[in-house]
Amino acid sequence: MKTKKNSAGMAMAFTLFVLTIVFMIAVTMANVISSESRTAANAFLSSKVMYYARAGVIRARAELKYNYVWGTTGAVTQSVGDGGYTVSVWADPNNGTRPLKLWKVTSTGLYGDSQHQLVVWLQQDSFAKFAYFTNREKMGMSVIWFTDRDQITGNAHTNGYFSMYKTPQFSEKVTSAQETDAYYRPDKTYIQGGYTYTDPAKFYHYYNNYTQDRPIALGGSSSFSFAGGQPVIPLPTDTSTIQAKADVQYSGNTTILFHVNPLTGKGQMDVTNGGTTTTVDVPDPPQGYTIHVNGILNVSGELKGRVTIGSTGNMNITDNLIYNDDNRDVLGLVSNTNVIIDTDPYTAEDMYVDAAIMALNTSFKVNNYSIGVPRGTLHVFGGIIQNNRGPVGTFNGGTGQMVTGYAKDYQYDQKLLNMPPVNFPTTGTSVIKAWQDATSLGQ
Amino acid sequence: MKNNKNGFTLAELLVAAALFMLLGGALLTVVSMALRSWRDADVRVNNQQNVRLIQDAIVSELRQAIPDSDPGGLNPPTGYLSVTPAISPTGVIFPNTNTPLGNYVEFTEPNPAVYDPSSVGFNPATPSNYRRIKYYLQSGYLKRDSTEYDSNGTPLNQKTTNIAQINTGTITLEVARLGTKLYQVKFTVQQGNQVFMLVQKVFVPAE
Repeated sequence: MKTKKNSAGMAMAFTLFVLTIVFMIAVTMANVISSESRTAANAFLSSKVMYYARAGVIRARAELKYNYVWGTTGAVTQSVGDGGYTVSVWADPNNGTRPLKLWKVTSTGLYGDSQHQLVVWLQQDSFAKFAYFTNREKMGMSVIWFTDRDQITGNAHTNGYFSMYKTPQFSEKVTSAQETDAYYRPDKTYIQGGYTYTDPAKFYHYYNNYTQDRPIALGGSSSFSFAGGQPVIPLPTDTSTIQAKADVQYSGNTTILFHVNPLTGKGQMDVTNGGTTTTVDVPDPPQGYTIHVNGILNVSGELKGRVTIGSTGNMNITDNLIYNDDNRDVLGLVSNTNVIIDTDPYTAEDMYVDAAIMALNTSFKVNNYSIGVPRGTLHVFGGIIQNNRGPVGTFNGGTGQMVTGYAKDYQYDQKLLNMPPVNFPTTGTSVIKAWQDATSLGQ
Repeated sequence: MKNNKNGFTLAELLVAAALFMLLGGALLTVVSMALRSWRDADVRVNNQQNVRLIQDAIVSELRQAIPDSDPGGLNPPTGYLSVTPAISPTGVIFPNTNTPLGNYVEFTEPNPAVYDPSSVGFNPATPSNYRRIKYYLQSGYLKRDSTEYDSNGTPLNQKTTNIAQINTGTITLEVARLGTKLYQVKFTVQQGNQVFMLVQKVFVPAE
């Protein structure tokens, strides 16, 4: 009996001891679990309201594509699952005359008592942002290769696909949509040389292999990138939008010669239409001046002003077409057909064109590019947007020497990014110019 | 005899006392270990929470970065010259293509007190519209430098702020450029043998 009593006492003490340990462990674990749960819940909540706010921005961006005043008359509230967003848009009162429309979108994500506010500045996107754009990288049925002779300063895009031989150089973003590319699969994979690739940086045709043939950064530019399989950016079908907004219209074939009046210092243009030539000052309203020609246009000279010209027929650039002031003057040339360098194939002289050039059907090209003598170098300061890439000359593949036509020197005019020609076609989308997060330390 | 039977002998008391001392000692040790473990866990959880908070701070502000705030190069730069190694004017976030990995992140963002594209005469290439932000670790603190500019690009109003302090262990920051507009912010905290890593990818939406 004595032994039994002693054992019971020990058991009690031991049980209490174990229970104390278990209790301490449980309390520690409960503390950890509670803190972790609180942290996870906070992280989840802040992410959730942030993404609701982003959904509001995405909605506004999509709506403003078709309706320029969406959300400007009152906040739009939308429930999404167990939360939602409220979004309102401020449209610049000058959007009617701005080269690119501007909006300020304020979106607030809502979930329970939590909120997250984003303020985003959106700006209409212009084709003038491209240094180089094509619908197809072909001339007739022939594929055109980018080679190490090519240097593109500025953004480049094709709705088709790029073909790279050696190491062409690009300074900015290069994208392609892969339309009609037999190597590109609907599951966004790329099959070339018997291998399947998923990296969009590989979505181009090479001549030998990816090591020898690849786009590289011009001058080590940190803004260079290449990505295939990107959305198609459709070209406008015609110049009707420019025609509808034109300040002046001419019917029939027209010749415009820009020049600067040496006495007044004003920009002027000699307009020949219907057998009559008139000289007028180039109107210089803040937003720019728009001309439309229903026919063929011959254009040349020195422009002082900001002008966009649309034409239903070919645009022939018959002589140098330059700015009086590179930092101020802007010229947009949009032809419903071709934009042609129309110079004498037997006269050797460099050619200068300062303009954002757009050839909807079909190309920017040189007339009689394959006959005559080497004409010199074609200097383009602006951007070239065309349906199909056009030829400007021929060269000896063995020596690399020009045989006919022009050698190329294309420089993108950086001011076109923020100051495109008035009424120059837009891509139909908007770009985010600034993103401001109300919860960030920077606010 | 009865009294003797109900009482305790000295030997019994000594043994009982010894046993209680042993048990008490063991209990105290266990309790002390549990408390230490509790405190450690508490510190670890707090540290992790702090790291999450400071990572969120970096990420939400990095999203405000403008990769190309001086696209035309028409005006003085908006701080890119302060980046080492020097990069092109059009790549104003560090890390960049030349140095894709760094132990700090530096970028240009709109200065909310000034930036207003709707204002008359607004020029997106004017340096005073922007400010240069740098996040880095120094002496256990996450620090944030902010540099504003006048319209000629001359730095003014440089300010350094301690954002958070990491109480124990060592912390490292790695920022990697994964793509033109995609970055990764990674914190590693080491406490004794335990290592905690927090990785977050950031897409910079502005162009």
